[in-house]
Amino acid sequence: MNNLVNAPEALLLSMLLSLTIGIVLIAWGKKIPQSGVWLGWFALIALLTGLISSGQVFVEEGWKPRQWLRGWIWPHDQVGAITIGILEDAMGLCMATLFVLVSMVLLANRSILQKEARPDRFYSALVISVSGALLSWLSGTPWTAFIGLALCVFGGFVCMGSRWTLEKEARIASRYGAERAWGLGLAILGACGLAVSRSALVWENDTIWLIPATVSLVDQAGTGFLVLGLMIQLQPFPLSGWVISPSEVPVPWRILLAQVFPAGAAFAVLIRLDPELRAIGVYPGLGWVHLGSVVFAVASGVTQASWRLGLGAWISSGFSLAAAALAFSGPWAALSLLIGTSLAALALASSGLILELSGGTGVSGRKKALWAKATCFSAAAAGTGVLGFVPAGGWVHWLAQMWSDPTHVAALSLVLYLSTVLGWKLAWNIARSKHNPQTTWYSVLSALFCIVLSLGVIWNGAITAAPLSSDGGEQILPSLLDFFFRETRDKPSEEAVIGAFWVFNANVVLGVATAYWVARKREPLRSKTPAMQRITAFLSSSYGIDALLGRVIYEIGRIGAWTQELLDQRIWGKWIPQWMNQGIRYTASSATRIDRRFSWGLEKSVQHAVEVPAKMLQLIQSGDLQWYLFIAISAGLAVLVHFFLND
Amino acid sequence: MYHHLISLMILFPFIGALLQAFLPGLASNLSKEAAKWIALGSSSLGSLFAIFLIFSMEAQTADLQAVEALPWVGSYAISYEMGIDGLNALPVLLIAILFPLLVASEWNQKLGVRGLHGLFLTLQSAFFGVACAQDLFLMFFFWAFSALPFYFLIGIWGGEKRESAAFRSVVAASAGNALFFAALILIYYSVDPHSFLLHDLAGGKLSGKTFEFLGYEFPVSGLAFFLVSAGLAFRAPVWPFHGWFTHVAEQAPLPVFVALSAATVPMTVYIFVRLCYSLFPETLVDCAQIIVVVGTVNLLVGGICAVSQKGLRLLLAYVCLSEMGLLLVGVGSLSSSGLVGVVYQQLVLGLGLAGFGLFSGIVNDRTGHATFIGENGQRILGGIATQAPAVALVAGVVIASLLGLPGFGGFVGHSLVIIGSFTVHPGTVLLAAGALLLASYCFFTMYRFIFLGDLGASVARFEDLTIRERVYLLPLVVGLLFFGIYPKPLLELVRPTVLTLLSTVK
Repeated sequence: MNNLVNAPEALLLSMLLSLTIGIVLIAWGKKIPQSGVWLGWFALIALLTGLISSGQVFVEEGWKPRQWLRGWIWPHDQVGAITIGILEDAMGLCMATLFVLVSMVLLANRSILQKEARPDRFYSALVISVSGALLSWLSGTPWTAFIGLALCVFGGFVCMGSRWTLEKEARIASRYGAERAWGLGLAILGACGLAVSRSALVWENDTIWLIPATVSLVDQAGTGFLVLGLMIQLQPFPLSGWVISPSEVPVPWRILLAQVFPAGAAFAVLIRLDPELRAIGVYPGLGWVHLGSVVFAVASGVTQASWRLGLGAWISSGFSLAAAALAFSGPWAALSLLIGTSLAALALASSGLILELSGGTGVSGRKKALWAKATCFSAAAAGTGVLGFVPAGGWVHWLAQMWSDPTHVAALSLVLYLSTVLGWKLAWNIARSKHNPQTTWYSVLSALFCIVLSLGVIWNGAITAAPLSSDGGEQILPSLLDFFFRETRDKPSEEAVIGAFWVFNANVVLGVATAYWVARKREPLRSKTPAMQRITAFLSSSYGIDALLGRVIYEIGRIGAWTQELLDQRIWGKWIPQWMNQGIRYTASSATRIDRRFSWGLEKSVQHAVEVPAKMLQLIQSGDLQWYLFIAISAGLAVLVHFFLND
Repeated sequence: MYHHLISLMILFPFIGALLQAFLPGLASNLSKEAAKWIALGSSSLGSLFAIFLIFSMEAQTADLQAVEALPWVGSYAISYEMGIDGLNALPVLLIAILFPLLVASEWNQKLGVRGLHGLFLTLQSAFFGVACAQDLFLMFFFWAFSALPFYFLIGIWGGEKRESAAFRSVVAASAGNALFFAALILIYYSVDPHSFLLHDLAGGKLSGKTFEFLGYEFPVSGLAFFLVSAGLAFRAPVWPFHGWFTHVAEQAPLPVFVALSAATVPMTVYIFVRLCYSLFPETLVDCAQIIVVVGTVNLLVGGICAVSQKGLRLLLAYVCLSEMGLLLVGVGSLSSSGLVGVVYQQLVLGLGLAGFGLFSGIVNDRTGHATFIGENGQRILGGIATQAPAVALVAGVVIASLLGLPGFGGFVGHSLVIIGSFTVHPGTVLLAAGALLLASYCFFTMYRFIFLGDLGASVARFEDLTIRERVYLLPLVVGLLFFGIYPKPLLELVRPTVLTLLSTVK
């Protein structure tokens, strides 16, 4: 790896420019001609140029990754340092290019935003999000990736809140923002924990992490927080409530900006930190949690009345599957599933939106509808991993690796089956539309571009995407995924691959058949008994988790109000001032009382002490008592006292 | 090179305050205008001196810089000794940024504008003095002096129950000052020769010394530490002494509460760090756990109470309480990252709280209240982002910083405190995570209820920021972004001093 002294200026400048454009659009988009779409294009072209320039240097230097690091907080090679940097390697550059291309496809499809009052907000969100996604995939450290993730989250928030004047949309947007902020905060907290005791938290330092003896409790806690935070970005169960909340935001934009980009950015960190996370031992647990999440998400998605909400749940389950693949199999399978899910979801959303339009007439309208339906089924195929699409390779690879463990194979078969059912059910539901859309051919065909990008041949070089043997004739191009992870991929045995291949295909076929059966009847589950309806409602509302979370927050608020009432109003506002007041008054009155008594006593004593001789003198002076008589009596008394005392 | 910059930065606001009091009466409007410009000018001039001082400081050194020393009360060894180093540079910068903005924010005040500005200027002088004083008595002098203006500011310009709020604030401050003063006397008579100078008292001079009372012997260091801690706890919102603070939050004018929360809180933490790390290092090590426990309780109580708030004022107060907890956790971590984080957080937290307070003031000015949820949970404000996008932007930046999102000032402070505390107090970090989740929920809910959704019933028309408001909010927003993106120069300024202090502790 080359360590760069100078920053990759072209790349950084393009990102900075793109971000600036995003901010300009969000601030003044309404006043810019054509709502600033041309600025959006300018930003995306700048990003693509930066990537091409970077890629050119990367190829010229013999495909060697290049890294540029700088200390953000403390020098970059120090323990506890927060370091930022860029890592230009094949995976980062390819994924970044993929995101820019997909963004361009979406931006070009202007008909989606035709009815939007403020399209500038979407353009701004897109530009900011894609910059964030780029930064995450090209980051040299987790901290840089977190900045990218934060930008993606912000872009998603702007997109989700683009109709913020509507109460319903505002609620979903703020919930999205709060959950993503939780995730980001926890991930940063975890990274802080990991940064404490080791050299700077940089991808290339993985050799330090791979010594099990050095893994401490703090490392485990830090990893736990980090993984939990990143998991939240993948919107798994039970944090998928906002995903299945009905929203009027155009589906492809919502999917790309609020779901795909943040999840992609989180995946960048997970994939880069894969050796460390594996060494610390969080993976088996993480994998099972995600497999469980798939089951819940699919069950919730199948019962959704609207395909839009079902699609959200399907994406959520797809990301959970990719996370589980990362845990059990490795980044090769995980990236395959991530790419497949993301592109398929985008294509499905675009074609679904087109098929909802009406007003198309004649042969053109019918043809467009036909193409949109074809795209829809292709998207389902791409997302569920039908042979030829990139997830197929990931699935077969994953199953083959787990082949010796029947429990794993059974669990994987189940989730694969469920995911296939949901994906194909959505496709059937969308394709049932009778409308002939009035839209441009570009809108119809742009979704196909995503399907093309998800072909296995692009990513792993094989026509089927899941070659039965590595030396088979179907491998027509070098595998990009093999190039990304050449050192980490464990090759399973050929026997395991063949077995996995058949199990995978059987599951897909079974899933497609079930989906056809489920989708043929409109809402088959809802038409049953009231008990079934209640169960369906429970499933489609994401298992009442929202209500439960709302209740928890409400109770925390009540505890807060009670604490405030007790501490501030009662103890400090009432009791302590009362006690202090009474105490001070009592002390003061007691002191006054004592003082009065003391003064009175003193006065009386003095009075008595003075009064007797004074009276005597007065008697003598007034003549009532003769002085010689007084002296005689006094002398007599003195003589008597003397004798008494001597005796 | 420094040419009495510290004295000048203390003096100019004070002269401004005196001028407010003794400015000859002109035609009423002219007099008011002149008073306002004099206030802004003297405050800004003091701040400019402070900023120039900080920019001219040498980084990578722990030495005290710009030292000014003059005898004051010779017979008691009290001197006017001032200086600046990595520990107090950021609090000075905070005060320098904050007070001209507060003066500008009260530009349109109708009632007793000269008095109001005069008291703000007095506060600015006092806080500069507290931050730079290197003599314990001088520090106490400025610290006690800073309590009084709040009494008048709350009592004259406050809400309906202003008298009780002012009274409670001054009682709490007096109690705190009395305890601090007792500590000061104890320390003074414990060293031989008697001295108030911090550099004379530092380096473990108090360790091993005892104090006899009623036949019992008490360690001077422990007793003084307790008195100082308790004294400062009364002045800052530290649980369980925070009752007066929330009461004041409800009654004080928002700029005054900004001064109280955004300036007094960081300044209290600064005094605590300065005295504890230099005068009572052994006691600090013994009591670190207690500090962390108090901090954790603050974090949780602040976080939980914030969830139940329906108004911006108390939300700000409880966020302040919670952040105070995080600062205490950092102080108790006894690590370089934790302590640098605390020092950095003083600056960015001050700016964040000021931004939040001023934004709340703007809402209060426009709508006549700062409540965003009604008694029955109904929306009171709402949809303001459409009418006032600049207000929404400012609030967004401030909230992002208070939440510690990357790229904002709060991220640097929060991250360093957590890095510093993670190994020492992992349980606390876990609870901090809980408080963070609650804070995120509160802020996003608040943001939704104020800025997003339908236009609230009580908001017929919400005017966006005026030019004056933009001008005084800009430094806060730029500061939060700049200190979040490029913290290096300030961290390099802070770190050597922190490492030197820690070397005495360890």
